[in-house]
Amino acid sequence: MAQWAWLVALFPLLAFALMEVAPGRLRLRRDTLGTVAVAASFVVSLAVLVDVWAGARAAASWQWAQVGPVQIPMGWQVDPLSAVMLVVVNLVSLMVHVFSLSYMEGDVRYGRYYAILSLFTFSMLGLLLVDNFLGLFIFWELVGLCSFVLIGHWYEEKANSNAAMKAFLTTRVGDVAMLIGILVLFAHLGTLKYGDIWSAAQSGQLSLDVITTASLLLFGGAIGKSAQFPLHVWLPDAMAGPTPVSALIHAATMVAAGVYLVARAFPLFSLSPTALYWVAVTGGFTAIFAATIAVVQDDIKKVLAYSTISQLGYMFLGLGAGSLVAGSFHLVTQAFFKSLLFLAAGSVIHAVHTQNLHEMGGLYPRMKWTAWTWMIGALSMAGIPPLAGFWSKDEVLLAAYRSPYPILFWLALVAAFLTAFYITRATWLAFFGTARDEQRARHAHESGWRMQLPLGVLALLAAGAGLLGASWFGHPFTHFIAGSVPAGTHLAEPEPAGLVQGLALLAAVAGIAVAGGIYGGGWVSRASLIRAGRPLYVLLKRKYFVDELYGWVFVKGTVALSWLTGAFDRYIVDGIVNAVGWLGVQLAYATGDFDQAVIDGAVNGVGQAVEGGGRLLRRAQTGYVSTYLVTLATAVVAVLILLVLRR
Amino acid sequence: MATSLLPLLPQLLLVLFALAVLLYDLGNEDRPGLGSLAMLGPLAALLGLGIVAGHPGEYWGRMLKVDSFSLFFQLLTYAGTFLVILLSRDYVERQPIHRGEFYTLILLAGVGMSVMASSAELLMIYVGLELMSLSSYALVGMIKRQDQSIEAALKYYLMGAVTSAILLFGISLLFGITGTTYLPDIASALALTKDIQGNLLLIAAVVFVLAGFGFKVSLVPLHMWTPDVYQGAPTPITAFLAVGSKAAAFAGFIRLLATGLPAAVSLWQPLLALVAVVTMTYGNMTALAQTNMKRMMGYSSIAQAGYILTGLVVFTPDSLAATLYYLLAYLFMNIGVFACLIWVANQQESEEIAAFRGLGQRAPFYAVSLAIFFLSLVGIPPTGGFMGKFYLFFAAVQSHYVWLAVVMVINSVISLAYYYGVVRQMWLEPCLPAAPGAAAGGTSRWSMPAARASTSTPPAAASSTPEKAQSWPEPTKPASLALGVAVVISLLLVLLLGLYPQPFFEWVGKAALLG
Repeated sequence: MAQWAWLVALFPLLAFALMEVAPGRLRLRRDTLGTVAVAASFVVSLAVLVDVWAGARAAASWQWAQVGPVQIPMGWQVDPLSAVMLVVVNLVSLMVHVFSLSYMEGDVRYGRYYAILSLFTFSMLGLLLVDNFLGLFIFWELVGLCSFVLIGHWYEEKANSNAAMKAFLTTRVGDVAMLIGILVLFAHLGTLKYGDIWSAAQSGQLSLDVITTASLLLFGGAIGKSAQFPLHVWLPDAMAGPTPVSALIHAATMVAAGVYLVARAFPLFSLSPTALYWVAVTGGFTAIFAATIAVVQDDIKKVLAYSTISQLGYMFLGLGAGSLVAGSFHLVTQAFFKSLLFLAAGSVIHAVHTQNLHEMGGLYPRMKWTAWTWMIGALSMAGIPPLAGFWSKDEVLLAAYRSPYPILFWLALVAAFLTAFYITRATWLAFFGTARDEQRARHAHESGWRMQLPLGVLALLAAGAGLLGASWFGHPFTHFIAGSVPAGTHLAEPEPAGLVQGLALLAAVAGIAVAGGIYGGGWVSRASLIRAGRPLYVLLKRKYFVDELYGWVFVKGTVALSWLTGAFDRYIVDGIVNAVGWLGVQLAYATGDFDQAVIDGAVNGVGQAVEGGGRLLRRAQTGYVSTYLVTLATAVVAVLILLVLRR
Repeated sequence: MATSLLPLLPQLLLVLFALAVLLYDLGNEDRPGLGSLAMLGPLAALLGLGIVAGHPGEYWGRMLKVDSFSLFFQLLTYAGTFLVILLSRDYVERQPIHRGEFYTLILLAGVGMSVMASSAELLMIYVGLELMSLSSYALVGMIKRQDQSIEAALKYYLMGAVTSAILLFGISLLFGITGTTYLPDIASALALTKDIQGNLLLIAAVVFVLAGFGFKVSLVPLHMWTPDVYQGAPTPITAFLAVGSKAAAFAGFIRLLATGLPAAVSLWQPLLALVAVVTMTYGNMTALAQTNMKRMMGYSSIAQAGYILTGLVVFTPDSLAATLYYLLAYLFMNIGVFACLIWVANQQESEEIAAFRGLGQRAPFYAVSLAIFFLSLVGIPPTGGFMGKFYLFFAAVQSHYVWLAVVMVINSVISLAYYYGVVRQMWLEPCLPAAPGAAAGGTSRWSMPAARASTSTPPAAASSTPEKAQSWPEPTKPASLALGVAVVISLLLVLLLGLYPQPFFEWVGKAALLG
């Protein structure tokens, strides 16, 4: 079955094409078309995974282009890592398709929504399937485009379209580094194919410096796509998109592309301790940095957004600590529990028409299904055994603990505590306590099977998917995923440590207990808490002022510079013309009256020709053109002098 | 004699059709089919090119050269000329433009461009440049009742005349140093010169010829005419300047540097590197602040010239091939943008960026196409612009010009912002009523931000509510088929260049050898 893996990407592409060209009647069924296509993809991907699990591999490659002696092939491959991710992406995408049937019902751009969703699914699957960096980059940009369109789905609100642009531009910053990284590899090896690059790197064809440089540049792309500090600013704003989109793109799949990139390029990264170090530090720092911000968010989706940033940080920490398994395992489990949380949040938002946690409360009796599935996701993320999040987080913490930088372990442990804290806080504020907005709570209700079914399916996985990697069954996932890298790759497989598991569990329970105490038990009032830690509260509430800083330095800076160059063209040139003009004329005079004669002659000649165009001519004679000409002459002469002096 | 005229077949056919257009137009300005007749010109030239392609070599005392390089640029020229006439068909009906002269001049400018590409002889290149330039000056001023058009023509003419003189002066200096104007001979003479760096006369010659070509391709600081002329010219002519004129000037530029001045590489390489960086950064930065679409495209084309120039700076066979590839993609993405612009201007009587409001609802086809052209200009896959940039980056990195590649990539991110300004208007702003409302809003079609930006107000719909905006009036003028055809052709080629680059890679690889 593995040799049919390319079908997985084909179905959504066909669906998208059909949706775009199909006439009248068919266009009305775009939702069905998209859902059926993804379902078909899901079935195929499942069959592929079974096949690959049994040891099958498949790849195909063909000549795409040739530049001189350099071949640029295009092709696809399936190995354990991509096979697992194919299933994850298809599953979450399918759930989101089903969920949206109800959530997006009656939307003004319902059909377009499904079309872009199909295009996104195709791009994401393509990203997982390709066997070379150029293909990766192409799909990388395509998913970014889809993300841009979907964040701005309700573009009538200016804030939404701004968020879309912010996401696109911020991730492009990372892409700059990534593209250069790809080019560095290409320039040194003349190939972009993963397999060739890995073997070249392992056989010592690349110096350590090149490996480190290329790895870090690639990681730059991952930082942008996976919203790691300092390029994390776009992800919270991306919550402006419809909630199912947040679940699919900004929690489970596209943001995971950065982690996938590092996991994919692990044979390269693992050769450079420096690169791994920076991956680990970035991940570890982001994990705790975003978790602290999540603690004070009032918007249920913003809590989940910062939580996603933090969890992605965990994955990078795992990878940076040298454990491919830890990073990719957490990637899988997070996809399930985080898309579950987002969809559950969507169900709540659909019911109460607000995203503000302080306008919720007391929803449990009316939305038991949503509440229970949410809590499964929350407990899974907090790391309560035997739910999925516990196992994968444990792997990450273990890897950090055994790594050369145990400080990262302690950071991650604090982040684990914070994770349990903020998700318990959100749970309590949304579902329990008294309803703070009676009106909303009274009208809240479940929204039918199309929204409940995905919640149920994802809850099952958020609870059970971890068993794949559980020590109880001898870590089957570990052995499986190790087959995605060439034999010589160094994979850290840390010894289990009881201490780590104990501490992780302790942190999770403590976080839940403290949050439950504060918000459920009423140990301290929220107001007094805010008063006591006012500066800290403001700092977190404003997200460490990173957005403000960027606004000042980059946005205002660019605008100012653009104004400056524009003004230069319009005013300054005129302003300095008297000074420069004199110099220019003198210089022109010195070079033999050449320019001067031409200018005068031309102006006079045309002056006689265009009679009646007095106003025009005055302008041409008195300022504008002469300004330009003087600048032109000055530039030429200045360059000349420069070159002569340099001689 | 017959054999010696053969290599000139495409150019002769073009001249023939130029004369035919002029004659056909004589006495009656409303003859039908004039545009179609003009369009046959470049098509016939393309056929002629097919015949000429079988006879490579040098003719007429080495004045004329038929090689893969000249074939490439001739094809580019004829394709560009054809598309520009396609863009013009609708435009000339709506403007006080004399169609006969207009088409004739376009065809003659095309002849000039193809001559520039088909010679390794500096004087011949210069003659081609002049033929192209003189036609262009007149074309820019074709809307005789518009001050702005004439003003632009005058500026372009005055500045062009000066730089042309500078170029000629540079050529005469080169002739003085080497005793020839034939580029390969210049190269071999210079190869014998020992102290290239210290040769004052040579420095002056190089600087002057660079200035001559730099002006035509709008390199900073010789760019100042670009925004004014782009804005003032009839829009199809703006497109012609952006793609045809620029490509032809680059053809001459490449031929000059690669065939004539490789020995002086240490003189011009650092200079052009600096100019390339300044040009792309300056163009992109200034484009950010524009409110007029044509003016914005003017600055955009300055920035693009900076990208293209990097291929010359790196100066390897790969980088020159990348330059050609980029020029190819650049032709189609720019023609596409201008086709969409003309379509919108026909509807809205305005060329401000604000005129694109709500285009996503009014005309999704043009809106989506324009977005794809923009993506290509920024360099986002899967478009020809991406492949071209990728090829340029690759060539730069391969020759250890990593810093140049970095500057380019950063610049392309900046450029995203101003293209997005238009995209936002198309989808993210409420719809705009068609022409009559806009005219009442007091926006002059030809207001030039350089001089009167502060006085131009966004068209009337600025204050209208979304509900009102939904009920825009039907377009007053029917959509033009010619523009749609131009968009479709451009779109297909932009995507083809992005998705199936192989045959084009081979082609430019061969052309870049200049053999």
